[in-house]
Amino acid sequence: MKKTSTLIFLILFQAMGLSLLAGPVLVLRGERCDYLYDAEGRQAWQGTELFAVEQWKTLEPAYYFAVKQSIYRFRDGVISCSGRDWKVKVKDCLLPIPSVAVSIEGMVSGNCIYLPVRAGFLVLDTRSQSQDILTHQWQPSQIPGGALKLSIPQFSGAKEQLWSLESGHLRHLVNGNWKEVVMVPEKDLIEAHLLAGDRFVNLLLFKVTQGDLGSFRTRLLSFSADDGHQLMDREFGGVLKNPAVDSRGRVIFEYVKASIFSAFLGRNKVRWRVIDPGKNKVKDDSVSVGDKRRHLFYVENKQGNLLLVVQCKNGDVFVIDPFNGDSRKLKVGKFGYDYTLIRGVGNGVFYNEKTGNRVAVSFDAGSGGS
Amino acid sequence: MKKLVIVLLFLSTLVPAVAEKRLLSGAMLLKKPVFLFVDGKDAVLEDLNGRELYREKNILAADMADGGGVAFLKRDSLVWMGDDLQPHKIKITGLLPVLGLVEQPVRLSLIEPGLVLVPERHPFILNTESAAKWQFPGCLLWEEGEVVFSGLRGVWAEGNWMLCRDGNALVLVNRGCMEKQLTLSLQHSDVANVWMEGKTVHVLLQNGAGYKVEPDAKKITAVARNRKDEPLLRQRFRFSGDEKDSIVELRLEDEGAFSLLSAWKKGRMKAIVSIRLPGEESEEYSLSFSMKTLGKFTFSLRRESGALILDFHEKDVIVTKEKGKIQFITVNEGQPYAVAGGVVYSWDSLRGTAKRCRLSERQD
Repeated sequence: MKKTSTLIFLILFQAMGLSLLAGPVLVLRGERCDYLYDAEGRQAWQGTELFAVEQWKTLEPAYYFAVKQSIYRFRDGVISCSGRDWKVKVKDCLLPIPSVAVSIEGMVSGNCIYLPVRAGFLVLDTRSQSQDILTHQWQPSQIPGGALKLSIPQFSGAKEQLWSLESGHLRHLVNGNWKEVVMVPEKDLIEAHLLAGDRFVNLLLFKVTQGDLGSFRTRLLSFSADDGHQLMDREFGGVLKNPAVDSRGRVIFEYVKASIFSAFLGRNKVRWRVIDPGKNKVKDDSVSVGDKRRHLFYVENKQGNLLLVVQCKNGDVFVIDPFNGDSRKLKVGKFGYDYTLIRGVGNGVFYNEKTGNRVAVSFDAGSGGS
Repeated sequence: MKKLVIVLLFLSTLVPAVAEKRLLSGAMLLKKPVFLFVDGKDAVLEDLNGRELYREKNILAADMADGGGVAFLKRDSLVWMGDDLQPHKIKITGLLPVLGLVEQPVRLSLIEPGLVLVPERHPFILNTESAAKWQFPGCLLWEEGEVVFSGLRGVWAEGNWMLCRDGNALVLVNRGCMEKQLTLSLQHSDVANVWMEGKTVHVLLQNGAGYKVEPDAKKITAVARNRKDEPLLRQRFRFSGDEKDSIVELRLEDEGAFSLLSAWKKGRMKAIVSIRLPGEESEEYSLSFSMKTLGKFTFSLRRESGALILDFHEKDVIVTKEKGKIQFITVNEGQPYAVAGGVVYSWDSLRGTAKRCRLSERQD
């Protein structure tokens, strides 16, 4: 009875805490770097670096994004910048008017924000303040029950390369026209992902055969980001988790051996697989960590490579360079399980969503954490 | 050259076939089934015999709801009609930009009994009786990679109350005056069902938890998840001709982790639908569905023409009450037609769902 009432209290607390959760801190999740924007404190974190945000006092319902060390707000058809006195009017934007603060950091590529407008994308260069329209023919699709969906394509690299994975087709925008690259085969498919980098674009297909639990596998199709020609098509067995892509487009998976033997004896190991479509190379590696691995994140180092961050059940945190296998334990003590990693370039911040606490951790080689 | 002209002439005769009428939806109006068609850029209402009841020109979208009437969306206005088929026009000053991309008329969820959604740049729900308005941005969602207009699909109207999904919240509104009464957290889940018992509003979330809300007293009781006897879905439903609601429940058979695993290995899962008519014992019906497409296991429950439709991605089960008896009829690829309550249902293999069609469309 006591347990039930505690649970009810917890749920009630969660219900009441809604406004607390939607409080003045907003996480802006980007392609390679995240920001933590604290509107009331007038500051934002980019990794371990903290910078001041002069405007605005509160976190109004609007779209927010960050480029370098400036926060931008898009509200009532106008984009304004926290650090500079300039305003850009946006006409015919297709994004809904938000009822809460929403991050559109995913639409930032390099110095540019790509906003979906009626004619395609409004490409706004935040550095030069120049505007351009990238033409795109939108095709709304109907969902049964009276709803309408508009799929937003993805960008690869700093150039205006558009790729779209929609209704089982991978398409690439070439000279203003969509060219079909590949049709996704539906057989045994659980999920399809598109992971784009500067040089390579990857299509990941997670598959399993009906009735055969040992048949989990991943097919990776890699394409050149410039001309769309296929570089690689390989299928891998085993359970591949947490796929990520580095800035060039190399794919990294965590690799789990699906056997009871490995579940008991290999529990203190982190295994991963790096695939380089450019060199057509696949590399498997593993590192022993102190205890059973609990959380795994990726963070980018200053060279643009990805680092693996692993937290164990006992609270230890390890940083692993998946390309050369180097690993080291961070000396910052124990972390709780409930945190989110805010990724900065070369640096990260552990951020606890419930308490709002931040623990800044440097991932640079040798420093051992701060 | 002559041959080419003949070919072109032949092709031109095919053009009208492409522009033929399309069935959008159907509902009970004046206790009779009425069908909504798209004819080129127009929307047409027809009765069961194919008689044209009403035509609205140059539409973008249309919708109809049992007992709720019909709504037509145009570029500059929204026209809605109740059972009496009297049109009421609402001017739209700035249409939602996403809807401006629609080229061929589509069905959008715009009308519910007593409510109509006006998709302006700042969308609002209008109470058609009291003319009170509720600003409703929740009909449009932006998620990573897509913009979705869900219309009134995220709105539940029960008794004097209206519940609107907006982000991670469910806002309970007094629909008479359109004033907010209270807010519930969706716990990062979604709404499975909303129904009323007496003065209490019940909300069941898809994560299995829920709320019992007494809006007048502003009292919220949270219901914990994982209760073994909790059904996957519970809905009050009134069959045509009934005075009181029946209770419809859907449960998965043996829903433990191991049975789910063995169901997946077999490729089939069993569910039990039970229907309790007012003052009677409940009737059960067992149905089996495929779990081949693992990521796509979806089902929903909808009302059409006084019947209840359980919509799985491979088949639909139509539940009707005829001569006081509950009937379960399955429509799928293999059994593409069924007649229930004087309405013909046909299987739409393109969408994987049952739709109504006219009697004359039946081929066999």
